[in-house]
Amino acid sequence: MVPASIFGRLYNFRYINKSPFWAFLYKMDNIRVSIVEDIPEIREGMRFIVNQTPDLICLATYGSAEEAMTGLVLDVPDLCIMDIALPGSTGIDCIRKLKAAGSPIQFAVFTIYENSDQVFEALAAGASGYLLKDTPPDRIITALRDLYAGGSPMSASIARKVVSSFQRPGAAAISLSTREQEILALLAKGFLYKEIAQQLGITTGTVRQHIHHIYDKLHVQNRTEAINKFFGGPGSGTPRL
Amino acid sequence: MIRKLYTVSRQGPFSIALFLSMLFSRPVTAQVTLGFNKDSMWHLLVSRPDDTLKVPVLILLGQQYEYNQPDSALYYYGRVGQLSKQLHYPAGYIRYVSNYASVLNTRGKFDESIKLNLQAVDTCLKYKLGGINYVRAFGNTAAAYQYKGDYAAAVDYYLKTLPAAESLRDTQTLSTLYNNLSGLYRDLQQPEKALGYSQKSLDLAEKSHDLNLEGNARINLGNLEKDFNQMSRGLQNIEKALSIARQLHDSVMEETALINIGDTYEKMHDPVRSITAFQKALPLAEALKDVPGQAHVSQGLAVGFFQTARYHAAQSLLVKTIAFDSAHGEKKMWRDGLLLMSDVQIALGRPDLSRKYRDQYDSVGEAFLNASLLKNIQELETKYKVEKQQHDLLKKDLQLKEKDKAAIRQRTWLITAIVIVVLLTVLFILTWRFSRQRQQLQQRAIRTLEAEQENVRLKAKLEGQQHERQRISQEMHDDMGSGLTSLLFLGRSLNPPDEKDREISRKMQQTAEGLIHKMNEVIWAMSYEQDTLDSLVAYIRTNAAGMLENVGIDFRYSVQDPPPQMDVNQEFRRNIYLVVKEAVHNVVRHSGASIVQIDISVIDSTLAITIYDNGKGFDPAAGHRFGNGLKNMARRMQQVDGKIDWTIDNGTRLDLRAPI
Repeated sequence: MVPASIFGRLYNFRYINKSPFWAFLYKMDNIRVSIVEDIPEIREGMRFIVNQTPDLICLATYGSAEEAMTGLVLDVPDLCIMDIALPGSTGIDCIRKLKAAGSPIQFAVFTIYENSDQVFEALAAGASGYLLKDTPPDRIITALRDLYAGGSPMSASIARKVVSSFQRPGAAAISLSTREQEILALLAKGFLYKEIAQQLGITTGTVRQHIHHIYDKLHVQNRTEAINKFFGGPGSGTPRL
Repeated sequence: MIRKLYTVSRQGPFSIALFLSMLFSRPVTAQVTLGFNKDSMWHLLVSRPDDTLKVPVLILLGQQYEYNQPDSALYYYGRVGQLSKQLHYPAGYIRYVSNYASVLNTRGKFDESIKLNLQAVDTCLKYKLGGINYVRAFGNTAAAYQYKGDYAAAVDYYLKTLPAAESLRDTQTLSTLYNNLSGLYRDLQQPEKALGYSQKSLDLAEKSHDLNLEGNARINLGNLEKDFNQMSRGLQNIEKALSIARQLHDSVMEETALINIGDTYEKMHDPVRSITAFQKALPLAEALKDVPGQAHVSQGLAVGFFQTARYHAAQSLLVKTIAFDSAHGEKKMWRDGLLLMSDVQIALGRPDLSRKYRDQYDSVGEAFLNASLLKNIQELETKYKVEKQQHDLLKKDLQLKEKDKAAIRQRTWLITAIVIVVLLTVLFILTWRFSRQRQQLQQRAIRTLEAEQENVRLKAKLEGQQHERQRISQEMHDDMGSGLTSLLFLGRSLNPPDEKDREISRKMQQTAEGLIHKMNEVIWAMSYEQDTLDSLVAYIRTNAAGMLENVGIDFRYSVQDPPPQMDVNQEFRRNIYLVVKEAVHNVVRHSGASIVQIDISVIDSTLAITIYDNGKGFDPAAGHRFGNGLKNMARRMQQVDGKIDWTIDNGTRLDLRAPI
C-alpha cells in the first residue's frame, strides 16, 4: 500500500480539480469522503469508519477550516463531513466560501445537536445534509450513502426553519414546489420519511431527493439574498456595477 | 253753630283771632231752614211725652238761648242730660255734654267742662259708641283741654278722634277738628303742622263746596300765615273769607275777618288800613254784642290812632275801651289798653297820668301775669314734651334706620363672607383636584415608567436567561458534546480481543451515546426557539417514532389538526416529553405490544396525550418492577400541575392531562 502522504503530496502538487490518473487506485466508483474535525480521536474514528466501508474512502482529513479551505480545493472529495465548531474559522464559513467558489462537494455538517441554528446556517450556506455525532457507525455509512445518492436528512425543527426562511419577505425569488411544501409541512409536524412517503405515495428515496432539492433551493436563495444584500437587491436602488 | 275764641298771642301785644270750635250735630243754618222758633219748640216740648225725640228739641231750644242767655241754654241742656239718663239714651247724653260743656267753655269753666266731657268719653266707651258720638265725646274733650291749655292731653284726645272723624265723612266735623288741631299746633309753635292742618281744612271745605266752612277755614289759615309772617298770603285768605262772609250775610264771620284784616295791617305797620278795617268791624261787633270782639276792635283802633299820632282820638277811645274791658272782665285787653293809655299820655305830655295808667297796668298785669305765666309755663312744658316725644320718635326712627343699615351692612358682610368662602372653597377644590390629577398623572407616569422598567428588566432577565441557556447549551454542546463524542469514538476504536473487555467497550459506547442523547434532550428543552406546542408535538413524534421504528412496533400518531399555536415553557416541554418517552420506553421494553397509538389534542388550554398499546398491560398497584419509572412519570406530571392515569384493558392506556 502506498503511503497516503506521498500520494497526497503528489496529488496536491500536480492536479487541481481533476481526477489523478492513478485515481483508479482508489477504486473509481468509491465515494470519496473528506473529514474536517478538530478533535483527533473523532477525526480518526470517522476516518476508520469510512475506510472500513468498501465503497467509501477517506480522501483526506483536516483539523481546521483553514487547512480544509486549501485542501478541499486541491483534493476534491465527493462528500465532506464538516464539523462546525473549529478553532479559527467555523465550518460554516468554510462551506460558504467553497460553495461560493463553485465547489461541487456535498457537505454534511457533523453535529451533536441537529436542531441548532448553526446547523441550519450551514445548510443555508451550502451544506446538503447533516450527520449526528452519536449516530452509530452503520447509520453513518447509510447517511453518507444517502447523501451521495442525492438524499438529505431533515429534522422537524430544521423543516420549520426552512419553511420560515422561504416565507420571509424578500425571499420570493425562488419558490418551492407544492410537493416540496407538502413534504416540509409534514416534516415540521415530526413525520418520519417513511410516513411521509406512505402518505404521499412515493418512496423514501424520492422524499430524500425532494429534501435535497429543497436544500439546493435554500442555498440559491441564501446566495441570492447575500448578493442582494451586497448590491442592494432588486428594487432597492441601482446595482453598483 | 260756630264758636270763636280769641286767645292770647305771646308774640305781640295785640291778640289774634282764632276759631276754636266745639262739635255740634247741626249747623245754625239747618235750624233756620227747618223754620223752628222758640215758641213752636216750647209747644212741642210740652205736648210731647218724655222720649228720645225730645232731646233734639231741647237742644235746639237751648241753642236758641245760648248766645244771648247762656243760663237758659244751660237749663235746657241740663234737661237733655236728665232726660237722656232717665231714658238710658247715651247718644242724647253725649249731645247734652257737648252743648253744656261748650257753654262752660265760653264761661272759662274749663275744669268743669273737662270733667263733663270725660264723663261723655266714659259713656261712649261704656256703651261702645262709635261714629259721630265717639268723635263728639273725644273731640270736645280735646277742645276742653285745649281751652284749659293742657296741650298734651288735647293732642292725645285729638289724635284719638282723628281716625274716627276721617272715616265719618262729616265734612264739618272733620273741618272743625282740623281747625282746632291747627290752632293747637300754632300755640305749640309748630308752623308746618299748624299750616298743614289748616290747609287740610280748607281743602275739605273747598271740596265740599261749603262756603261757610271755607270762610272759617280761610280765616284760620290766613291768621296762621299772618302769625308765621306770611302776611300777603294771610291777607289774601282773610279777604277771600270776608267776601264769602258778605256773600253769606254772615256777620260773625265778617266781623272776625275784618278784625283779622285789621290785625294784619297793623302788623304790616299800615295803621291807616288797619283803622279802616277795625272801623268796619266795630258796628258789627256792637250789633252782635260780641264783647271780646268789641274789646279787640277798640284796642286795635286805639293802636291805629296811636300809630297815626291821633293821640287825642286814641285817648278818648281808650277811656271807653278800658271802662268796657274792666266791666266785661277782658283782662288782657284791659291791660293792653292801660299800657297803651300810658304811652298815649306820655305822647300827650302828661307823665303823671302816664305813670298812673302804668301803675294800673302793673296791678292788672300782676294778677293777669300769674295766670298768663302759668299758662305759658304749661305751654312751654307741653311743647317741650311734644318736642321730646317727636325727638324720641325721630330717634327711634333713626335707630330703626341705623338698625336697618346695620342689618344691611351685616347682611352685605355676611353675603360677601359667604361668597368669599364659597369662592375659596371652589378654588381649594379645584386646586386640590388639579393637584390630585397631576399627582395621579405623575403617579401613572411613574407607574408606567416603572412598568416599562420592569418590562425592560424582565426582558433583560429573560434575555439574560436566554443567553444563559444558550451559553449552557453551547458549552454543553461544544465541550461535553465533544468530550462525549470523543469518548464514544475512543470506545469504538477499542477492539479488545477479550470478550469481557469488548462488553465493557460496548457499554462504554452505549453510555456515551445515551449521555449524548440525554444532552441533546436537555439542549432541546433549554432551547428558547423550541418553546412552542408545535415543536413539542413534533419532537415527541420524531423521537417516539424513532424508538418504535427500531423495534418494529406499529406506530400511529394523531394530532389535533391544526394544532393550536401556543407557547409552552421549557419545564413543561421537558416533563411532558420525558413522560411520553418513558411511556413509550415502557411499551417497548415491557408490554410486548405490536401497536402503539399516540393521540395529542388540546382542549381548553389543557394538553391531553393518550398513549395506548395493545400489550399485556400491568398492575399499577403491584407494579414495583417499574415502580420508579411510574413514580417518576407521576412526579413529572405533578410538576406541570397535570394528571396521569392508567387504564388496563386489552393493553394499556395512559392518559396525560396538563394545563398549558
